[in-house]
Amino acid sequence: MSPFALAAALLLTGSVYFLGIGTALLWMIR
Amino acid sequence: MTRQSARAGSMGLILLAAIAVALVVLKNVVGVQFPGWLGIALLPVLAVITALSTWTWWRALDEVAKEAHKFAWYWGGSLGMGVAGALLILVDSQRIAVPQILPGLHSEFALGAATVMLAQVTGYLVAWAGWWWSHR
Repeated sequence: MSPFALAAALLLTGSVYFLGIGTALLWMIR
Repeated sequence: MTRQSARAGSMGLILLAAIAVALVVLKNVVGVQFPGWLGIALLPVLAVITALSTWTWWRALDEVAKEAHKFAWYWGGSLGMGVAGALLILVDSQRIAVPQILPGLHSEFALGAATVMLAQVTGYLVAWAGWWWSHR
């Protein structure tokens, strides 16, 4: 895997996690 | 949430943006050489100020503005992720070259990270503008 793909994959995976955590947080504090 | 604390949150974010612009101008235009430890020392401080300011700013936003941001990050950000995912596949299979979206020489790793962030922010801005356009 190229460094470009590695960085992109890391950020995309992180984004999916934060999407889940963020959605749950907003649900709790609304 | 008082109007005063809302203003404090916004001022915190504006202050951070001003510090960031000042550092970039000092480094790239004026040519100031910052010591390496400065960035490492500043990062946690700026992260805490950012988190607190964002929290205050968010709590003070009205429901309509919150809804616009949530919609924009969810749908625009996801759309941006889709675009970035497609670029990842195209670059990794050597169908297209690495997009040179950063000025100057940068590692491929940095370009990969920047491509994802730019795609997400672009998607967010388009979705945010579209949301307000359709609710005008």
